[in-house]
Amino acid sequence: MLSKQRLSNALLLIFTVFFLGISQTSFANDDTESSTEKSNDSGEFEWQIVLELSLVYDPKIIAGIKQEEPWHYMHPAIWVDLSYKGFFLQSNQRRASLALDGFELGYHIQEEEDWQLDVIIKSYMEGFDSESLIEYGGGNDSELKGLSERDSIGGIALRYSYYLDNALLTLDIASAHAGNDEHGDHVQGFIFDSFYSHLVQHRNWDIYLGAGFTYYSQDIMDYYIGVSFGETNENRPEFTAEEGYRAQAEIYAQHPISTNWSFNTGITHSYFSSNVKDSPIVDENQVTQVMVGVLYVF
Amino acid sequence: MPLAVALTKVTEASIQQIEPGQVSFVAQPEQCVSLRQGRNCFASIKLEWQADTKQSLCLYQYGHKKEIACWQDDKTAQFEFEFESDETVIYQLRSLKNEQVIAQTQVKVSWLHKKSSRKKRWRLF
Repeated sequence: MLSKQRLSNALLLIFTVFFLGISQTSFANDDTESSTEKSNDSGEFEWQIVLELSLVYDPKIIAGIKQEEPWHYMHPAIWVDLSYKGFFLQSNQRRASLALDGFELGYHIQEEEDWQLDVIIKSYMEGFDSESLIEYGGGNDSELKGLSERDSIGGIALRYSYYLDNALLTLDIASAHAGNDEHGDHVQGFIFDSFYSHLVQHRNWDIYLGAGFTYYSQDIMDYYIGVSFGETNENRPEFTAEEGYRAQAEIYAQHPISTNWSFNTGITHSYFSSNVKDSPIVDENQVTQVMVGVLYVF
Repeated sequence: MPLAVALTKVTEASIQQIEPGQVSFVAQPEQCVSLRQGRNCFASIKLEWQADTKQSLCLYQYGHKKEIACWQDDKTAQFEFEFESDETVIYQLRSLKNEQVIAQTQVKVSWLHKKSSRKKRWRLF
């Protein structure tokens, strides 16, 4: 019987072959299409820099991480978007969820009128450092002390994007990597991330309705919410997490204020599989994030 | 009276030269900002004109032959409407007698994000 790690690797290989097969098949069928139906990406260097100033209510599923001070709710950020000859660095501005750490570095493998295939590098889960949280971030000492630092979980992924007139569907298949486990071994797993965003335009408003589903393999979940032997105490037993998933529903809205400023706001509800609550360090398996702020476009 | 939606190509060169006259003509707001270039901008606009002497005028949208509204022997008037356009629109006051352009103003359409060569009109980038 295949181990879970081998199963994850097999699924990753199958999906990779599938998506590459789609791109090759479509390319062959598109040979006779006119060039005007191809992507109109000129390949020229393009850039955009956006300054974000927002207030966020950002609860975590990890017990003991709370926003207490006023500055815990402030979220200044600079978003940089670059593209040149198929390479791109893009910011994840319009995902209102703050759990995605913002940036994606990628390259267009195939770009057609209605779909494209990219290889990207991005962060899929935000890490946390219990010691810093206790000292600076309002973290609860009794619940967090003794927990090892969790690095952000990044991944290199194939992303398939399908465009409709007012909607976008993205599917990521990622080989995910985190820090080292308690044995010093590098943690590697598999993440499947999907997101559907539908745009509703009302006068000068852009309103995005979104829904997402993310699957995390067992190694990744265990790294994030498992409890190793060295982290145990009288209230925190050793725990091995199983694979898990997250479903999201989101509304995000943007409205121009001037030629450089816009107002934006969003709310995201995340629901994690119920087994995550079995972890001694997980408080909730559902969180709702709210963001309101302004953007300055340079 | 709501203003019919119209898309008018406007260039600076095509705007008739108006001599400073007795009629003050303004649009409020004078700018409409949309999220991205090429997208229709929506705004509630008030056009207002004032004169020292009584005037008989008609309001036109530049490039259109049919008048939007007319006033006879008035010193001041206002006209409110719902604006929708992806380009700057010029409004003119013309004499009721000889259609000479007495004054003009514009509602300038601007945007937050310019058009990008990267695909999909509603992507930010």
